Amino acid sequence: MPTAQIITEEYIRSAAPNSAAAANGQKISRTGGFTKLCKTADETLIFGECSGSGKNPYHTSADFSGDTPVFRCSCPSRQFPCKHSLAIMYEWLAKKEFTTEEIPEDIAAKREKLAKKAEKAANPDADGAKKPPKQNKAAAEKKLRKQAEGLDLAESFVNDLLSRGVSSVNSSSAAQYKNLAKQLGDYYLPEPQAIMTEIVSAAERLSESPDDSEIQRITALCIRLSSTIRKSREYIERKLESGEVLPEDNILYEAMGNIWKLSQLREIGLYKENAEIIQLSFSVIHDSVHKADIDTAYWLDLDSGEISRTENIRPLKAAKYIKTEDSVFGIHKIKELYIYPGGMNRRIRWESAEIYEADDSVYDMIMSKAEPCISEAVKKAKNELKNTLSKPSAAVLIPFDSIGFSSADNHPVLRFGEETIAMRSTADYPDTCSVLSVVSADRLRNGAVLGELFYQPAERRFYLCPLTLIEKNEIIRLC
Amino acid sequence: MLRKEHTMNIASFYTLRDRLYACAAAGCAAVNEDFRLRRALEEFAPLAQSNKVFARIHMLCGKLFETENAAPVLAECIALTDAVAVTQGSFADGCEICETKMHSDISAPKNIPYSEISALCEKISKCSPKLAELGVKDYPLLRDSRVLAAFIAACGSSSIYLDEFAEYMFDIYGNELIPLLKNSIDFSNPKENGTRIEYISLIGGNKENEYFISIAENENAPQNVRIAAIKALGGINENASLLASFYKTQKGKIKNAALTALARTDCPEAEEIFAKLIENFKPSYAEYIDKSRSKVCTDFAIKKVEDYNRDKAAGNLLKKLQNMDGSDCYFLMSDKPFADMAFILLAENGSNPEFLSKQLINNLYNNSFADEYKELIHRLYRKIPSHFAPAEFFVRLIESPDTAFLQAEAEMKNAPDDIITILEGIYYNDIIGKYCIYRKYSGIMTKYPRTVISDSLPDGMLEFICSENYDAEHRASLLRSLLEKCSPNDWETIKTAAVEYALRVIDKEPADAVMRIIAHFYKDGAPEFYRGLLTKYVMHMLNMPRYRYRHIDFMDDFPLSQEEKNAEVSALIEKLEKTKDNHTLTGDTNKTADINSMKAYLTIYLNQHQ
Repeated sequence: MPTAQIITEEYIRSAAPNSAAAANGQKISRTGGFTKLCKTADETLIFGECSGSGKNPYHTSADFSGDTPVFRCSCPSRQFPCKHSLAIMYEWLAKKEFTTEEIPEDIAAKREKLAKKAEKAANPDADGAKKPPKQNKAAAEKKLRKQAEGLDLAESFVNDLLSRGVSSVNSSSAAQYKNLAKQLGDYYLPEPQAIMTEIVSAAERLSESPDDSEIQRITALCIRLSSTIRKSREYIERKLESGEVLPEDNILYEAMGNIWKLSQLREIGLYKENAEIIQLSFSVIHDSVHKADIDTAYWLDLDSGEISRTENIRPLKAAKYIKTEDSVFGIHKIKELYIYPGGMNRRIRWESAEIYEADDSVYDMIMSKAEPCISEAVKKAKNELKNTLSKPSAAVLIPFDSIGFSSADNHPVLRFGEETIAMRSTADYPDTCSVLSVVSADRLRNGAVLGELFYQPAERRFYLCPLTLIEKNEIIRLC
Repeated sequence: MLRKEHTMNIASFYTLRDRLYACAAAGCAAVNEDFRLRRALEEFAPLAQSNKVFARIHMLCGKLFETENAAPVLAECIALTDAVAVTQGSFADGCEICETKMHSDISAPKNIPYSEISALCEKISKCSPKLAELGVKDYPLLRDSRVLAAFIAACGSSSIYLDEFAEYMFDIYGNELIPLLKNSIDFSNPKENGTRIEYISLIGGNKENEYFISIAENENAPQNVRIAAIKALGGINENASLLASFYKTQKGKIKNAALTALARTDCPEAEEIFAKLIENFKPSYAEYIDKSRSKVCTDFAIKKVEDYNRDKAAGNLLKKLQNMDGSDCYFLMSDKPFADMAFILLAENGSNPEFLSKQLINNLYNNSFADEYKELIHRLYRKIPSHFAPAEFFVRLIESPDTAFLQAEAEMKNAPDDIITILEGIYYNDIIGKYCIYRKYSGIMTKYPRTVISDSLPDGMLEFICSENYDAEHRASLLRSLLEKCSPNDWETIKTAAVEYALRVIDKEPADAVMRIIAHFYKDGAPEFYRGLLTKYVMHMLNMPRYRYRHIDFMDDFPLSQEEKNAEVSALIEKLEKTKDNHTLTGDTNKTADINSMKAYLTIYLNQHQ
């Protein structure tokens, strides 16, 4: 059974809803906010009293007896866990004195209730137990038919826009297109709808200030939308004909804007047991199409060497209600790792993980998972990027003998064996090349780079956007 | 496909792809009239025969001219050409490569969270005022490459907050910054600023003279960069003739930059130029004469002070001084190591000692704490100690910090306020592990450039601060600020001294800072000690000549029950009501307003805590 001994600095940060909450918790701990600190004899529960702005002190506890920790506090905060719950963990971390006491009655009662609930969940046949929701085939079929109708609407939009010309959108046609995009909301197609809205807004802006690169971007979005429509229609038709209407291992399910549930991924076998992964990069990326900030991280599977990604999507409208993620550094041992459909860098999710500190051997292990050469990595990326529906870049781990800088314009160049590749920052990672240019020379030899390979149409070549350097004894994050 | 890349010229494929994109931009409704696309397709035809994928592209594009609904066909054509373009993409980069400019092995702490790094980088890139509030926990982050890169990029703008931050980076990276700063100057950007040159000059000094000359002589360099380089040439006598030639041959800002640099240079060329300026004096020349250390300018400053004193005595100041007043005299005396007479004349004429000392201390900061400016202060202090004690104390503090306070106790009894204000600039620099002092006293609130005082808290400093019971607010707030800026090793000592001091003065002067020291750091008193403290404080504050509205949040930290605190607040409200009635009777409206605002605040406190 886990105890409070699992508390580490990283554990607290990963539990915190955002970095400000963690900092506030730390401040409470530093300034002696707790007037009472207690623990149970088995150390599965720590609890205490913390003075706050209210009249009475808050009763705060952190309970580690279950699979997932439970934080409780009598403060009125809506944040979960609140700063007081985080503070009591900081108190534990600071090795403050916790007196041993019996478990408080109210917490004991809550524990019992939770245990009963867990028991019911484990025996679904027992009376009154909630059975896992069965997927409704009729509803799924109805949804597919509705989506097919929506695709017709979206297709008429793309065809009309390409016929009239991307650069010919004016305010009156933009208003009509916006109406169309709004209508698409009735057809369970949020992803095509988001692309459509972005195309219209960008085309409208374009009429005010023409820009060739923006025309290219809008055209590329149109082509992406067109491909999504065409492939989705084929997919829907096939499913309706075969009668197998439930989701399958196919990226089109997400491309239409459907959201995978972990239970669905499990049902179609898209999960891995006892995975061990380590985060290699983390950044917050602004997604203008979906009007959201996305906490994006790349992870390496220490067994298979596969590079996956996690995305915590925080729509700007709801940003303050969604937990912000942060970089993490330990090895994550995950009982069930759920994997989304796709090619390279598939999205992954999990419900709970054990985190343990990586020792020095991990660096060698990571380096051993790098591609054998640059051309092999580029070949993989080409196979991925030629699909119109895939992301515009592919994350790869490439080894290097050295990284140097162009004498002409100072852009970084990675060299491995006889091969070289130019490095360039992207809009998602705008500063990584400048960071690379201030990394000391001895760290730019004999390592590996995690980077995103992307194709630059104007120059007809691939570039590598560096994200992280892996050295013999450290990981240097560039973003 | 890859293999064929080397054997086949596929330029016509890319031309066709470009034409397809152009067609999408212009609209494919009239694709039949698009003769450029048609020609591109014709030129592509031979390639189509060599390969199945190219053949498919050719076939699809041909369809564009046959179908009535061209849009879906166009979309398919572009999708296919995009996919082929990706597979044809090359990656090798054969450019000439050199090594990174960074060679130092400054290792950052591992595992710094993204949120902390990105928050700091954002502050740097925005040159946020919050850069001035960096704390101990931020210092390790400064060694991270992401922070260094953000700093180098931010040097494209200029800000006093960035200047303060730069000092930390100078401490960590030193000369290593020079090649990085040089490398990041964008000579193709006419709006490039001169901050990077200024920083290079501060770090490298005279060693970078050749580099500055090369930029100063480069007429194609961005103007602000060139100006900064010319200014950086100042103070080195070998540059005198070059600067004089800039002054004589250039115009506008470049000419002025040369004059500024000449002002700092001790040479016959500068004497000659400034003699001419003084001969034909205009107020606009004053800013250059202010900076000049030349003999002619020193004589000019002395003469102006004499004029000022004479006119002051005659009561016709404004008429005689060519739009200059007393404060201009102070500026004229700056950066002149032999302007003794000007200072003495002003002191004898009753000028404020604080202003005179501030000017003398500014001289030190402006001239890298050069000995000749310290000598000036010593000479002046020997002549009129009462007027130049603060400046003398400052020099002693940076030269021999461990004896400065003993000497001050013995000799400078008349200047404790100024000395306390000087001490407000003391802070512990975690990066170099030393106590430093920033420019607060001289009127400019910046740590830049930094002066090191000592490794540990100077001997006698705490005793000096706590030696007097009057002006307790000033002394107690200095002790509080020291607790925030001191070395962790000294925190306990300062806390003990602060508590002892607060306990000693609390009956006589229960000022805000005194109450806060008691509330935050003294928990061992009997309950009776804390009872009635709030009342004492409020009545004291109301009796101050310039009452200032203060929070009473320190109450929360008194080790009393909430009921007891509330009872005292209620009693105090009643007491204030009675006091207010007395003031209303005497017609003291200001005091009545003060009492009302205090009452309102106490009532809010009560409502929140009941």
